[in-house]
Amino acid sequence: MEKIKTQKLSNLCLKTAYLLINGGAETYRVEDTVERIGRSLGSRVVCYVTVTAIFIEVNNQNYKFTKSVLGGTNLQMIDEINTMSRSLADRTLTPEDFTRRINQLYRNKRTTDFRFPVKAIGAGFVSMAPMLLFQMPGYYFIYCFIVGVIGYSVSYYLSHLSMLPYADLFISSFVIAVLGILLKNMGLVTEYHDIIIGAIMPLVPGVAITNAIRELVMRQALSSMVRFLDALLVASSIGFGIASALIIF
Amino acid sequence: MDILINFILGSLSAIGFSIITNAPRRAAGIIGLTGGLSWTTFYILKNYSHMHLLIANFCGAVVISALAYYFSRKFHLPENIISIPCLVNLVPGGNAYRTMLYMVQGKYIASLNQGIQTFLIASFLAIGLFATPYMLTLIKQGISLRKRKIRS
Repeated sequence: MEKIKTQKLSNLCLKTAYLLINGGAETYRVEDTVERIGRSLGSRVVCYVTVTAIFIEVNNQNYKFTKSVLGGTNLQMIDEINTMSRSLADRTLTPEDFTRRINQLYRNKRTTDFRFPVKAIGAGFVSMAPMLLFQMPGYYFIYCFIVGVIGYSVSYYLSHLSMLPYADLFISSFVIAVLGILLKNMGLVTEYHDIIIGAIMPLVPGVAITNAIRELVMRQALSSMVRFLDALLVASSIGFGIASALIIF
Repeated sequence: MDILINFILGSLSAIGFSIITNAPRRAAGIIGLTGGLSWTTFYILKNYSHMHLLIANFCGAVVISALAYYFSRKFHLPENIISIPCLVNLVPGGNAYRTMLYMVQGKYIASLNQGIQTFLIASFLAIGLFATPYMLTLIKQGISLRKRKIRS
């Protein structure tokens, strides 16, 4: 197999690691994938990733690092790069094709995505949390669906409008709690707590919690702690949003 | 009958979360199956055998990790694509909410109670999530050790 130049390879590895971290992969998987790519292209690559920085060293002669930001979830990206690196190792994909596709992904920073209405309906299904099944009558689930869709839409649009990290979750959970109290005041429901519990489920930091656990088990304590802190901050911003609504009304 | 309703709701909410996090489309069926089965396990253990809540959570997480381990190797998917949406069903959202609610109402003892329970459930979920890979590596290591011993 032809070798690609060290300079090019280090750029390629840096871009791959950046895309994987932004997609929400665990750090040990990122290191593993990048080192495997280097091996299948015939070079020795050493990669060290924390959640906020990526360090790459190729063949003892080329060192690079870049910054990355916390947050952002795109499981499609992880799957695509995983499939590509697998077929690169199987030699069904040439290095040129691989480089071209990584560059394309890096330029667009996005993959195929569900449209917003589909995502909102998905959020509605998450809001009908099965843990509430026998705590409340069946027609409450319809209110859960509606409130969950509204709460998720608010958070989606706010996170696209502003880059300020935790404010969108605070405001959307505030809106959810206000809607729950409003439903009770209109006399449609008697217990609004269950509806609020269901409707905040789409905002739960599931990716951060799961990755933090898996990284902690793999002895990646540093990035695991960063993710735990992020999950804690997200959870408490949701909590304070609800608390302020409960205090005001 | 109620088990069937539980299964359907569990799969729907797992698939819904996979849509939010933009999981690949070919994984949707797998995620639905895993989420439904893990939630049903938790529900049956909690309501029919009157087990402790923590053990029921632990078993649900074990089911998630076992199915994720199997399906990820069979369909060449990363493992956390399957386990992230399924874990959302088991997250103790109700307890976390009540922690906040009692804190606002000034019942600090009850709030602390719920907070500790939230923490315990979360840690048991964590233990369950890595129980399966650990057991499997133990078994694999044991088999390879025995083979080496036979050969020598």
